[in-house]
Order: sequence, then structure tokens, then C-alpha cells
Amino acid sequence: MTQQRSPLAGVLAGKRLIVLVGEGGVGKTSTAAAIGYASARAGERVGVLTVDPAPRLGDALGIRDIDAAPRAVTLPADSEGALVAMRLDSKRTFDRMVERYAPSEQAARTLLQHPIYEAVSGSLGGSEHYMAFQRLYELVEAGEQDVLVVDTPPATNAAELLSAPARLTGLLDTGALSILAEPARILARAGGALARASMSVLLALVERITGDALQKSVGEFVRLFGDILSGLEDRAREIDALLRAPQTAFVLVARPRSQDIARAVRFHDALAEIGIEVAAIVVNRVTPAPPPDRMRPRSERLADAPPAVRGAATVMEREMDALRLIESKAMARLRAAFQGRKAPAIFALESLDVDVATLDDIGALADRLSARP
Amino acid sequence: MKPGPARILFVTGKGGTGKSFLSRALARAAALRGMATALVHTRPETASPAGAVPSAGNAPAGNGSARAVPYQEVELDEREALETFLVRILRLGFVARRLLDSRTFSAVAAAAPGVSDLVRLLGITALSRTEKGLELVVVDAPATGHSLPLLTSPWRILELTPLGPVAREARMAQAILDNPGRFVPVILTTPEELAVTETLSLVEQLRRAGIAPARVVVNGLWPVHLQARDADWLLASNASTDALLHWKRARRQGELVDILEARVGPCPGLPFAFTEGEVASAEIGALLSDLLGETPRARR
Repeated sequence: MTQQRSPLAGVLAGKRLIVLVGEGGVGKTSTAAAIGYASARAGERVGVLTVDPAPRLGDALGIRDIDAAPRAVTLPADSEGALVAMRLDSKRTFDRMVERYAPSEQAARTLLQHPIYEAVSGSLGGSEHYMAFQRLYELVEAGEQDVLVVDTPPATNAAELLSAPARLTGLLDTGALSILAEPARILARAGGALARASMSVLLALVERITGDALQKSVGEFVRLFGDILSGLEDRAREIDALLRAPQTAFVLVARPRSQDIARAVRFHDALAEIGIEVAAIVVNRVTPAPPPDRMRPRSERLADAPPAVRGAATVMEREMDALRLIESKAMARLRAAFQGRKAPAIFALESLDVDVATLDDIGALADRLSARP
Repeated sequence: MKPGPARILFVTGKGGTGKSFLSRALARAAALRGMATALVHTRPETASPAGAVPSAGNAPAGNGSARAVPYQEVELDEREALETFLVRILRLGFVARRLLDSRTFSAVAAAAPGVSDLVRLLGITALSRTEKGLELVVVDAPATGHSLPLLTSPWRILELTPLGPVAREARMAQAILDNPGRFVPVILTTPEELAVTETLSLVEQLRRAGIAPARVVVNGLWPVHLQARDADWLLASNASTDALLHWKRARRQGELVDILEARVGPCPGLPFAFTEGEVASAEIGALLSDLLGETPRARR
């Protein structure tokens, strides 16, 4: 029913970094794997970095466990390229970043073992998003792959996804935290009476919240983190430049439901607002068009069927049609949203019969993306 | 109504599972049966009435009539919650306002990871206090990834700072969250592998934290129209590819629900809405009774 003009593989040709964005559960990982698979089959050395694959998809790629090592994925015999599947380990990526930017090994060790570090590195809002990009940066730097396909953590809006590096460095901004690090010194230096007054209130506040011991502990943490902050800020800028490079393509994945499409369009627009162009929107798990057997009348096809089957098949075919109607309305809504303005390539990716669970399934999706017979 | 604290239904789940719709429908159903009900929005984008528009396939529809909203709608305002916190709990009085610029908030958040989550949580639990006069508080909660830190914030805070006024508040929040009579986490999931996996992991994390047992609701179930032996006939005959595809999907969903129920007990379900407005409000009413522990309810 929805016939794409050019296969997605064509739209992404020549891109070196492909970033998949979208809400949780839309099929970012399977789409990323299929894009990587198609590209590797066509001769590229490809790395697919994924965040949280569904269990059986993780099994198919050999990366079910969170700390799984990069794994070579077996390709069809006639493939010229190679495919490596990797899984994001946020915690370890964060640790590596600390090790890299700390002024000394001793400082890195103290920071990594600090009680607040664990709380911050694990639960800081957006740290997983930040780490996905951080890991991506490491992989680009390592240069072992021609093409990197990254499946980002679920985000409901672009801000959540892309402001992560800025938020992290902003939160640890010396301005806000230096007060906690060295209250006495800063307080003494504070010029006006008003500034002094608000500082003492702030200190009182912090003390009431945290108690004295924690405040000291926070101070130590902030001093240690302050040392690596400029490194982090440089890195955040480099990541930002990488994401805006001409060889980078953003692919937005959505499901064929009107409300999901509306949210996807908002996501697209928010990205556009900060200067990031979405190369393609993949509408994933679109129900296949009515099969050829539907051309023949039901009475003929089901003539020999047990009565229970005859009634049930009628209902089931109607429900499949109702589903197609829901989906085609969503597709129409998507096209309408881009009427009269520059639209990304829109690609309807037909679903398999069941979940994507094996390498053959990934291969089948890759066929659909590259429109191979 | 007998005066007492309200019960909290905390509706969370993966993005796109229909949280906004279900929480609105539950609040409506509760209000229609005469319960003093509040619907709490925790995500700014869900506060608009647009969230009430049922989407075919994504969320079950209510009865579709556009009657006046019979429940109280509350938008959880983080800034306001923080102000209350500063004034009432920390007793910082009028200077609190001055501290409410974003920089200060960052400093507070960084000073004790979990404080901002706790502040938001207290904004929710405060609504359940007896003097608010409510019987039910339905929370349209953040998605799984954001709800877990929110709900576990009292425990995290107490690890960092076991004494003082904040610790006292954290303990009071704990006493609500670990009481099944006061707090019911409702995890909405679709019958899909990734969503089910995430749901099971959330159930486990909530249990480990000491929070009252969660209820799992499966949204978007396909009806099973065939017995297995009838499906065999379809498989052999090639008479209807569509019916076979339908059957495969429904069967896969059934497998996933079995996995869920083996781990968390009976999971009430809501049918997939093949056409808009198909799900009767009776469905929602029955689900509400189930979640409030009034009547056990079979899945199909």
C-alpha cells in the first residue's frame, strides 16, 4: 500500500554515522541492526551500537548481557563487509571518561570510589543519553569501522536526547557547585550584602538538606569533578559537532499510529529547530498489504473449512483490514504534516509475521530496506 | 464517604503504552461511581485535554461523550512543590522564593541526588492526605525510566542523609509507598517482548525497593478467534494469509502474557481497539474494581 520512492539504503548511502532516534519500543534496535546488516552485506565495515535490545534480538546479535563484548555477526556467504554488534554499558563508559580526563590516576581512583559518584553516574538524568554519544565518539575515534549505526536510548523529545551533554556539564557547572565545594572562601569573597545574605541562606539550605557530613563529602566530590569538567565540556562540543557533520544522518523511527506519528513529527520539528535535519522517517511494523489470496472470494477459499474456521477467518480478515485503515490514516497524517515544506524521506517498513528474533529476520528486514528481491 | 487518606493509583509504563489514556479513564470511572478523585499530571504534555482523545489501536476508548470532567485535575508543578518543600519542611520562609532560580535548584539537586525526585514525590503523596478530602488519586506518572528514581527517592535519600527534616519526610513517604492499602503501582504494558521484559524488571526493582506490589495491566490484546486445531487447518490450506497472520500475532501475545502472569500473577487486559470508540467504559470500570482489590477479574 505505501510504496517508498527510494529504498532507505539509498538515502543513507555515503553516511558514516547513522543515529536512530525515537520512543521506546518502536523498533529502533531492529531497524539499526537491519540498516547495519544491509550496509555490511554491501561491503562496508559496520558497527552497530545498541542500548537495550529485546531479549531475543539481543541473543540473535550475541549481545544479550549488559557487559557483552563486541561480537562479530555472521553475514551471508557472499557479503564483502563485516558487522560488529556492540552494547552500550553506560557505567563503564562513564568510568572510562573519568579515567581519561582525571589529572592523575590517584584522582581518578578517588572519584570512581566516591559514594556520590555512584549516585550521580547511575541516576543523573540523561546520563545514559550522554554516554551513548560518548561511546559513539570513542568508536569514531578508534576508526575501526566505516559506518556506525547507533540506536539511542528512548527519548520522548529531542531536548531530552540532545541536551544531555550540556545538562551534565551544566549541572556540574562550577558556578553552582563551587559554593558547595568551598563555601567559606566563596562566602568571604562575595561582594554585596545581598549576595552574602543569599549565600548564607543557600548554605543553610544545603546543610539542612544534607547534614554536615554530606556537605563535606559533596565538597570533595565537586572539587574532584571540577578537575575533569573542562575535558567534559570539550568533549560535549566535539560530540555536538560530530552529530551535525554532513556524513551524519538522523533516522527517526515511529509506529504507524496517529498519536505516535504526531509525537514523531514534534520530535522532528524540535530537532530541526536546533539545526539537526532528519534524513529519514522509518514507520516501522507496517502491516503488509492484503495478500493475493484476498482477491478470491472468501466463500470460495473457505469452502472446505470447518465452520469455526469460516466464521473466525471472516472476523480476522476484517480486523486486519481495520488495522490497515488505522495505519494508512497514520501514514496520511505523516505526509500531511510535511505538506508544503521540506520532508525527510518517508519509509514504511513492513512488519515480519512475528518479532525480530533471529539473524534471518534481521536479514529479511535488511532486504526490505535495500529493496532487494 | 468515610474520612481517611486517599488511595494512590500510580500509572506508569513504557512510552506509548497508553498511560495518559488509562489514567484519565480510571479517574473518570472512579468519579462516575462517586469517589472524590484527582487526576495528577506529572508530564506537562499530558495535561492538555488532547490527551483524552482516544487513539484507535493505541489506547482503549471510553464512552466518547464529552461531558464535563467529574474529577479534579492537578498539574504537578515542580517549582511549586519545591517552594512548599523549602517553606514547610525546611522552614526557610520568605527567602525561599529567592532561591528558586535554576542555578540554586541545580545546586540542591547535586548536593543530594534524589532531592528533586523526593520533592516531586511529596507533591503527589501530599494529595492523599486526609484533609485533602480525596478518596482516590490517579497519577499519570512518568515513563518507566523516570518513575523508578521518583518512587525510590525516599530510600536513596535516607541512605545519604538518615537524620533531619528531609529524612523525616522521606520516612513518611516510605510509609505510604510500602502500604498496599495506600499505594498501588500500576504498570501498563503492551503485549510485546521488549515492553514485557522492561515491565518484569520494573516489578522486580520496585519489589526490591520495598514498595507495595505492582499490578500489571496489558493494553492492546488481540482477540483469539481460533482453537489451535483450527489454526492447523488454516496453515495447511493457504486459504487466508491474513487470518493466519492474525492468529500468529494473537498467539505470540498470549505467550508473552503467560510469561508475565507466571511471574506477577493475574494481569488484567484491555483489548486492542480495532475501531475507535470500541472499548466500553464497562471495561474500565471492571479494571478499576480489580485494581482497587474489589473483584478478581479474568483476563479473557
